Amino acid sequence: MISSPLLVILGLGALCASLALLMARLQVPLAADVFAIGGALLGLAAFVVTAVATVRSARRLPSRPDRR
Amino acid sequence: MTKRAARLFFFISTLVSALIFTILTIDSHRQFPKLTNAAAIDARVIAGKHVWHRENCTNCHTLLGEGAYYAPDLTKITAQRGAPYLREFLKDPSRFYSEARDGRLMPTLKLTDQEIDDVIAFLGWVSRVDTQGWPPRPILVKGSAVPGVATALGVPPEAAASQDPVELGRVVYNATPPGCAACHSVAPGVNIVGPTLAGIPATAAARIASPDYRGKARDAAGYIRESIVEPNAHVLVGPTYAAGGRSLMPGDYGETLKAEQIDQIVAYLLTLR
Repeated sequence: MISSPLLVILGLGALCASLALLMARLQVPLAADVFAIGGALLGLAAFVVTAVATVRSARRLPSRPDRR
Repeated sequence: MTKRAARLFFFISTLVSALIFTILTIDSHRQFPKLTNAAAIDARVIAGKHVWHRENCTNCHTLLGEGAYYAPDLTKITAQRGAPYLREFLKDPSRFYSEARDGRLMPTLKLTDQEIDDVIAFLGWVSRVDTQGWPPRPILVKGSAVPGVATALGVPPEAAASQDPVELGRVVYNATPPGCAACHSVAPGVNIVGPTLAGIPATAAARIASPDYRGKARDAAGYIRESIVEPNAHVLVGPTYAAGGRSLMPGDYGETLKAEQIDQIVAYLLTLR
């Protein structure tokens, strides 16, 4: 299951990426750069959130019986 | 934010993004004919493209960034060199390059005059494609390690240190376009494609005084200006300078350069004593 924060981060990231392209097309370079950097940071945040969630869920898994 | 709200936000933002991407994609495709100068693609351009592929030019050269990086990029070559130069070059590249001297050799392709004209038409069409400013600087090889060529071609153009016309002229001379430094060295005795411009004021005065002179200039400044704007007014004889009585120097600097830029180049060249 995807967590709520990850859904929001992914949604914002997609918006930032598309708005960066739109700003570039409209020849507003500063806004395009801001959105592009924002999108990149959100992508990084999504990676971190996913990694943390994966580690946490792995720790919650029960130990395998054959390793006792 | 509740789980439901987060999911809704994700779906809406994804939808908006997809919509923006779709609109931008349609907009890009709508512009392709104009950006690629599609209306100028005629039979000669197509024939030239076939020659380009048949001779595997892309194995050494790049066009619009595509190809091999062994030889110069040719995206803007017709603007940089001019059709007369390219015509003579393609007839016999060894007149312009020597493997021993330059460490490279463009093969003689034995193209017919028609094929050469077709290739030049094709390259001319490519040069008019709107590349959004790419390449940011010309990728030429000739002159890159030649004495008297201040511009290491491949380095971004420098800014003028002052507003002195001589300094401004030096910057224009080394910038590309117009690419003066790609063909003319300012070191004595170093002839690249065009003759060296070291000592050009004295050389110009001597040429004007010569009975062979066919131009209209009356002094060195006038001679230099005439050579830039009207290179066929007085044609120098040299293996890579002219062919068929016509100079290989591009003949459109009078249109592509601003009047003040020509004044500045003249001012700079007059200092090369």
